[in-house]
Amino acid sequence: MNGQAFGAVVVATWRERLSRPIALIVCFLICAGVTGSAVTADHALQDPTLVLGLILAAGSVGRDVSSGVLALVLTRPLVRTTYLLAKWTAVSTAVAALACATLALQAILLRSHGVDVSGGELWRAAFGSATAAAGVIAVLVLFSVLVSGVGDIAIWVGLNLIAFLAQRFFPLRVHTEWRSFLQPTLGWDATFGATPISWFGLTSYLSTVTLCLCLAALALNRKEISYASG
Amino acid sequence: MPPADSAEAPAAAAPQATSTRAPPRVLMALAALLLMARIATGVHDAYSPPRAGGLVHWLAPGDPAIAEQAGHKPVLYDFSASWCEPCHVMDREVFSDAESANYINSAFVAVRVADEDQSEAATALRHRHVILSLPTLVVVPHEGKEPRRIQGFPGRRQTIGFLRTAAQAGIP
Repeated sequence: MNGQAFGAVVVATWRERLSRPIALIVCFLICAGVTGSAVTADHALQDPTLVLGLILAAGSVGRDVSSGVLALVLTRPLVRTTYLLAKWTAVSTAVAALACATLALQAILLRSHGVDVSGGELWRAAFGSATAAAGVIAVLVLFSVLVSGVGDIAIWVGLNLIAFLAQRFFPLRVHTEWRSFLQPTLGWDATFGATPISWFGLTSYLSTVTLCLCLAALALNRKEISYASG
Repeated sequence: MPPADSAEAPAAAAPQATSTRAPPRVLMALAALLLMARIATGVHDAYSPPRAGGLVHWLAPGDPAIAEQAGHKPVLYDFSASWCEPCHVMDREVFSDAESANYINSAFVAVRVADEDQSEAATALRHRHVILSLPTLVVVPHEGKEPRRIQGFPGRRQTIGFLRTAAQAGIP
């Protein structure tokens, strides 16, 4: 993998994702709302990762395809897998950083209101948030390679809706596995706090993330990219 | 317009050491390895000894003892399944721990609703509490108070914290 090209795509993606005023305002409102709810109503840390992920990851690859940016980017000798992994890394780290900052702010405010939030609790919440960001965005990147624009969000929401509506017709096991595919996450306590370590939980999460990225890379390799492909 | 990065690139293009469509070999190997590990750990868990329920005195859905005891303490429903790996972890970490189990036995009427139990009482409970994922713990306090629930296994400490809060809220 070309580290320089990888870094350039990561920085360009950060710049592109975090410079859209409407998305930033919506993210800010969500973080503020979640923090307000955590401090005044729940008196516990509230994780905003999923909503932030959906906003910041929308069309991570698909928008580049439909706008013609990807066709320009690929005139450079950039391996498509490098481009894809850089996109995933950039969006995941941006979402995880925003979510962790929100959690840290919640912890400070909760402590100032007399609620005991330990450093360990904050670390566990941040770990869950970072793994949820990496997991959900791997799934969204896969969908984003398959459809143009922000169709990835439509697919993700549609699949969740189907799962919700079909819960009465399918066994609970199918529903549970379906949800764990769409929202892969790893809880610190549930995985590493258990004795012995929950190896199935760990391998399930890592397997879902790598499979999504692998399928996305293979699909992107087969995709014909042109200015007319959007 | 031809694709910007088509497989049939012009011959005049500068030769590259690596194709831009190079297959992600390392990623494919990693994904295959982790998928095999996932299957292996899943099979291992499936053939592990069946869940004993730890040290908690579970009642079955529809047991007449539930109605008798429910007047004195809140009812704790444990919606779980033998195929549910986090349920196994919760069994080991919470229900097999003497201190936690003693607390649950003293504070709740504990009812286990296994996914495999297709009896009328179990099915009605699953519908009433809209169980979407496993494990789910639902604490039903006395009349007039809202049930409290926790989905998934967030770890021993948080589960016990939830049970203590729910038990306090459910005291008549």
